[in-house]
Amino acid sequence: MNARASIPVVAPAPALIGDLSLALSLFALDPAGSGLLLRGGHGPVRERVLSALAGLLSALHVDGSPWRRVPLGIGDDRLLGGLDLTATLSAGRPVAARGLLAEADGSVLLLPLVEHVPASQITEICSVLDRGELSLARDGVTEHIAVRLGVLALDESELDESGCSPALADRLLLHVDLPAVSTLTGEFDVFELASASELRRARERRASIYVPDVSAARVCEVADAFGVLSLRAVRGVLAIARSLAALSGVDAVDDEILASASRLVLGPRATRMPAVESEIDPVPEPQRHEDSASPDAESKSESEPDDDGDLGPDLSSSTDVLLEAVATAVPADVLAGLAGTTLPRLAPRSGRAGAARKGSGRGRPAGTRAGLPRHGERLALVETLRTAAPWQALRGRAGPHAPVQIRAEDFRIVRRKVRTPTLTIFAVDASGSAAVQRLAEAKGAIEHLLAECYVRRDEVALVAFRGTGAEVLLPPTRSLLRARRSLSALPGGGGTPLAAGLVAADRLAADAERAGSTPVLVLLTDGRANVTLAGDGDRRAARTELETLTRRIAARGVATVVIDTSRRPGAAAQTLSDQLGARYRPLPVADGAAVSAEILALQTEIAA
Amino acid sequence: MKRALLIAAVDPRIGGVMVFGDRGTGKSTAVRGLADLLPQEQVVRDCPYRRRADEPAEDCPHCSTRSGTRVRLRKETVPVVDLPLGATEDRVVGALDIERALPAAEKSFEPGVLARAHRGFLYVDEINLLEDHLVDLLLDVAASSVNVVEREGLSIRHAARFVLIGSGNPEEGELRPQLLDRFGLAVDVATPKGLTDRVEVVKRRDAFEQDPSAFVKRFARRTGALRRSIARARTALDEVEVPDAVLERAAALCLELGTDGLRGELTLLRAARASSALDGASIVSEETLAAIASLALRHRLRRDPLDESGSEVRVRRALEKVLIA
Repeated sequence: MNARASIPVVAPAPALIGDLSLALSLFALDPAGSGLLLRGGHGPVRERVLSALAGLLSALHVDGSPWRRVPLGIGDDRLLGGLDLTATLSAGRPVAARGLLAEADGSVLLLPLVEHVPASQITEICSVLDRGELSLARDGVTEHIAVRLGVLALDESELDESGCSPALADRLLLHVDLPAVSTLTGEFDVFELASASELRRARERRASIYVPDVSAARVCEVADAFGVLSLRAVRGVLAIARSLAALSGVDAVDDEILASASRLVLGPRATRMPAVESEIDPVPEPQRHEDSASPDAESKSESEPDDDGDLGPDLSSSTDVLLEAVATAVPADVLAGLAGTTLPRLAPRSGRAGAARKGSGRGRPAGTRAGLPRHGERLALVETLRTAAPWQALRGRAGPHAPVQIRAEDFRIVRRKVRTPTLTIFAVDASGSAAVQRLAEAKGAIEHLLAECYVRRDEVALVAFRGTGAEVLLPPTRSLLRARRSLSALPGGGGTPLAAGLVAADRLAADAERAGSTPVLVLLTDGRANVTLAGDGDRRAARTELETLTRRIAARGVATVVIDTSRRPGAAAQTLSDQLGARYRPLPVADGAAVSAEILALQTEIAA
Repeated sequence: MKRALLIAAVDPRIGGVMVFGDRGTGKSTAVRGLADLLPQEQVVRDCPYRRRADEPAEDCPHCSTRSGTRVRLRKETVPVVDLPLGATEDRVVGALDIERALPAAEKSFEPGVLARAHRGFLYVDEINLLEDHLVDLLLDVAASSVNVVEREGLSIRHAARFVLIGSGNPEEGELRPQLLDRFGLAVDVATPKGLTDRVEVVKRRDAFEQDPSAFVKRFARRTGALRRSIARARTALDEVEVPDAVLERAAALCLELGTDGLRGELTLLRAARASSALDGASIVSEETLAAIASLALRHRLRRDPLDESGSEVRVRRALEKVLIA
């Protein structure tokens, strides 16, 4: 590492490694004020990154540990805190137990598999990040504890799965995509973080860094241009710029620093390319950053966009520097979309709904039973005391004001009645000429269902298959609003890749089961598969493939309904239904209400 | 959103505000800021149920056991109480006081969040994520204005008249219609799209973080003015007149929109009066009615599957029809 405390603001090639080092260093510099979301699965790259970061954080933290890890499936009481029962019973007065969040005060909270953390816990963490304090009202304990947290979230979801909750992602300023970096395994040796002493020095200087007034306006403009709506992101750029200035050893935020900060924070959040009439290359190559970062080259290649009138010529040309800088960090899949045009708003990734796990402390209290409280089960205090009461004299209780003598067998815990939510997955055959009609049915049925569903917290998802593959049009949601939006434009036509549709639906079902929901599969098709998983239009191969696939799905035991949409109810759909072990219902005429009635009947059957 | 909160502060009988909106739109900030604007009132000192001197002592679990002792008063601000998301039922309604129960097996009631929110505001963030049984509980108490506790061998009842303010992101889940109906007003908040607005928000937030006390001082005068206008509006509320013509318009509007029952109209009129009082007017005008119609009615519209347009549009359409007539 350089002896001088200056991290190069213009990253040497490859830019991605440089940005990675920067992001990690900045996070370590001010974890509570930044936050880091690391996307990518297990692997040597992630291991390398995490161990480097751990080393740095350990050096900076008082207790020598890099972070507090939040295990998946942690109960609310362990996370938030509450009553320490053992201590309370022996001390004879309420003793609060600090939860993991309170313990991580001043340190970093590590959230592995953040995409699986239940929504309520995510909300709690977001609340702590926003207010800097934890509000507790549980189990006889009411307190407000000041908690400053730095959050390091690890997102291991695949591209087509729903990832980290958008609410949390919004609050984490730095998003790093590891798969993008891992393609450059050769250059990984350049990866080095700032040293602990550099960070400590930077921390002291950070508060006195001067940020010019006009920066806010420029960053807003750039954020607008790239379709980043979040105001947190805009504020985040300013905060990161401050940190970057402190790290680079300068006193004020200048254009270069602002450009780098914009690139780091806004780049990964971009949803479109700026629609300006300049000569920005539609698909920037990775090496392009070398030209863009230096102001000279930049002003030559740019023409002034017309619509910057109100902010003046100076502002617009320096804003272009920012635009250029951010453009180099826009994720590849957004670029690959369409340069210069607005992409349809990327489907918001829904966090997984809270799992109604056994004994996670949710649901209606329904009586008590004997047992020791663990895993979020709650003590039924009075029952316990009542059970212990008759034995007091025998156990030698000293007097009416002496501590109550309680034994393990006296403990009573609250029994809860938990209802697991249902996820209804619609797999719709969108092939051929009847596609539009079928999709309309599905849409009608979904809206019907959702209207009923919200009472019981059920969810709905939609997979459509046509042409050569299947597409998840509506990821699991219980929001009527989102369903309406996603369903408003449904495409149709092409061959019937039934197998692909089943695979996609099966995957959703597996996810749902893992998250604690009960999946129900509704298949709307005529059963006539003619496209294989590989995309070939070979009817016989498709049929054989289907047979193997259905056997596997039937083994999973997901409750299924096959709605036969062929004009004359034929053997194809019936056979499919038998193979899947499903209920069969012929429905040649579009009737959303009938479909939803069928589904509700099935759900009642399951619940019984 | 701010208007809705002010109206709810002026006339608590309107029944609370539901704030729908995307994340990062300042919902929680606005509600918590409301606390600063609320007037002070005299409550009985040491009473955990916030009994006011004019409320009967026999109904208060704390004061009824202390009859005979002289009542001392204290000035307190109307509270805005947060309901934490991870709250358990015992903290919300109150429960057996463990501190007394354990050593001495003594039965004594420890009041919960609902007692603290009496005659104040109860703020539930992310209300669409709230546990079902807690939602049921809140509905019950909000409807009856009394919190009845029958658990763990205790039998307590106390007054709990609070204004419920909820916020949430509709994309994350629908709100049950029974819950939605309990709210007098509903607002939709979106991230400001205009560049100048966005810049101003960022600047102000930054200024606050750099020096909170200076920021508060900067806006102290406006805050004070707002506080006074709420207090004035509260006293002036009863004097505000509603001309027959406006009454007819309101009824016509509700008929046009097909709102269920009469609650829509009643809320609409109450909100119109509160809004006029805030503006310092003594008569409700049609303009005021039109301005707050959406707030009072947008969440009471019957769901029409054939009509894809949002509720805002439907209210406006109905307004145009009714008002030009």
